[in-house]
Amino acid sequence: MNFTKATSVARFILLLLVIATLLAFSICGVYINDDAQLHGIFDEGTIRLGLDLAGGSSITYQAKNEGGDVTSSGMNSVLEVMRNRLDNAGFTEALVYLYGDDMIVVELPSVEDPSKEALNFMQTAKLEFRVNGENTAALTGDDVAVAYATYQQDQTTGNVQPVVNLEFTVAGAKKFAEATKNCALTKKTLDIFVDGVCISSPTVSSEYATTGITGGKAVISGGFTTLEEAEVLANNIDAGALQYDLEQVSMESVKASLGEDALKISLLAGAVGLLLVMAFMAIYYRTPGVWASIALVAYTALFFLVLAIGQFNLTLTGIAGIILSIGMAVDANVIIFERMKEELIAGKSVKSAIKSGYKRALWAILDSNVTTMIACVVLYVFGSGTIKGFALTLGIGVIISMFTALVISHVLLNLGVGMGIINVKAYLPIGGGKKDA
Amino acid sequence: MLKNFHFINNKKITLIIVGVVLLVGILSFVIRGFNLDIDFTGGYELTIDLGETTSAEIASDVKALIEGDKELGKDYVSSVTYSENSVKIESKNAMTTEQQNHLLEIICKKYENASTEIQLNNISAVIGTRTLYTTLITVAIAAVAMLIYVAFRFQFASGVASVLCLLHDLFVMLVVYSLFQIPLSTSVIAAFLTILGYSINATIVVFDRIRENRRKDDQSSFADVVNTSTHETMGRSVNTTITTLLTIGAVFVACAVAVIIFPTSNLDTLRDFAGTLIVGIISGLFSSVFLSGMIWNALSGIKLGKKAK
Repeated sequence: MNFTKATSVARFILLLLVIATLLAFSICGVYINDDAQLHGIFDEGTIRLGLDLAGGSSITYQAKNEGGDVTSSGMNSVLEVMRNRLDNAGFTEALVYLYGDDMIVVELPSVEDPSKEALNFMQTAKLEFRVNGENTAALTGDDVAVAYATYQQDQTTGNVQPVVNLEFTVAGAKKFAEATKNCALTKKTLDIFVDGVCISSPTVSSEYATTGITGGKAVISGGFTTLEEAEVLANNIDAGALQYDLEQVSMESVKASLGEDALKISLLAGAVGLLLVMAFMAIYYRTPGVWASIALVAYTALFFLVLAIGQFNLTLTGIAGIILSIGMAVDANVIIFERMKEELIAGKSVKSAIKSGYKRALWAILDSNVTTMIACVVLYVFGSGTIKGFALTLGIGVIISMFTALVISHVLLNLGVGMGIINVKAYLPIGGGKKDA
Repeated sequence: MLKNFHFINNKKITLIIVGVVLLVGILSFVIRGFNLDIDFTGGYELTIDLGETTSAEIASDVKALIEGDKELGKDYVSSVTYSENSVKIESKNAMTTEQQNHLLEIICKKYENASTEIQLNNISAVIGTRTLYTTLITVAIAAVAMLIYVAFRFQFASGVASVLCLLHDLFVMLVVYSLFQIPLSTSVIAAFLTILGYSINATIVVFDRIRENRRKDDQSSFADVVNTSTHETMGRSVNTTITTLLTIGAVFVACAVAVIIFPTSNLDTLRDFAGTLIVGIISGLFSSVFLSGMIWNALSGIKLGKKAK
């Protein structure tokens, strides 16, 4: 064994080890510490199933703005607030997106029968402090920096009751001091409104008549029977008020089109399909086919890793995108190998056939992949929920497959030549030795 | 395979095939129509408490019960799902009060503990139709964007040809939905999108070869260049179709087998989905091999003719 051959073998083994490690990482996960860990692709919760696969509810709201238009920047702020509220309410798997110009869709996977309590994130949570008798608010929810719920003992009755603690922003603290000073002077109550309903009307004792209540803190008591109720309000105040009123247009429970078992069967089928593709490539294209199969393993490992890191919601369309991208991942290799075949038949050596095969196939591969990427970008930007899922998985697949089919398989082919596999017969597809066309 | 077939000179054969598909398709659209799923038609949802733990088996029993009933029948049940103690019957058509009472009667006969009340909900078709509508618009925008790219990289005529091939493939899929009365639900969107990506890819590989061969060879007629290029890329076209069919075919077979073994599983959705994809992919092979070059040739002919004048 000469030196070139030895280094080729060593590099080949190294590449195989890298691919095997990637695959192991993606399937078993990686654990560094509690903050830095990656769950395996098949671990529960790594892949989030979308509404169509897991079943659940889909609620559509229409935004209404009294005396004004609904603007797209306003809708985006509503969207952001809703996202925060859903996260606060524990619906981290929920999907919320704009629908048309003035609608918002909230998808709650696995929640089949959304009761009113489950939808408490929908309370508008418009918080207002008004000096009694005045129509304009002295403070609003925007002046609150932090809101949280605790139990507190009532000073007069001695009962322990749930309350919402507020910490104001700097500007909010000033406004609050001003308002309480005003109340203390005029002996009016400071009414606290939530969604237009007065839930508490505390008095301000006369000792605050000179400076108002400073320190930027306040407590809302009254109106809560349980700590949970107080928490809902605190969370919603924290997430911010909704700029528009949202009216529920429709609420449907979506039945899962695929159950757990169904998903397992289709995953298994996908794996079998992948093995069949690898077998086909190896049998038909021989040596290059074997390399393409190894590149396909690398493709699968990288795809799994991206899916595990990205934590995407996987929908039926997303699965379709994955299946299609596997087909396309080998497509680039098929195009290259067909080119190589032509070069070999024309009498070129294996080494130069590989070189010109890649060079001449490059534009066909780039053009077809760029076109697909254009479609993906358009579908992702303009499409809604499920279409986005498809565009995302297909787009990721196209990018990864460009790398595995153009770079990894190329490296493998060259290493193969370096390892001494230079017999033309090993590179000609079945029946390819005959001159056709 | 097709070694001596001249794709342009024998375009009559191609045109006849396309014509037949077009005719069958339109006839099927008119006569058979589409089996629109409740996503698009809207309908009613009837929930009945059976007073016992329900299962997939019970759900399919209830479905069979309603389908086999003389007064109700297939029109009044499109699917039955279960949760805890109740079953949810989805129906595209509204039941009269007598029909509802009759439904309760036959259910109580079979399930003794069943409640005598029906909880009735409307299912709106707004979301389904609106989703389809946005999808169609999005697909149209994507198609135009791809047309512009292909026109820029190749020729305007080739851009039009690639989009026409795409439309052909989508049409063929719709024909399959109509002919086999596969429930047309929002999952058709996924199938459409997949073929959108696949069809364009297949066409471009052929076009790339046409472009390359035309640069090398300015002696032959464009028709001959198209023919040679199509033959040269045939290996790729067929093999990529085979590899894609292997993955999607595995899903189809697994689901078809599972549906037979476990009739209550709802894998028929995925089976139908995979089935239509298979048809779309085969159609994509046909359109990229037989149609794409032919259309490009025909369209560039028009352009050249104008120039000559």
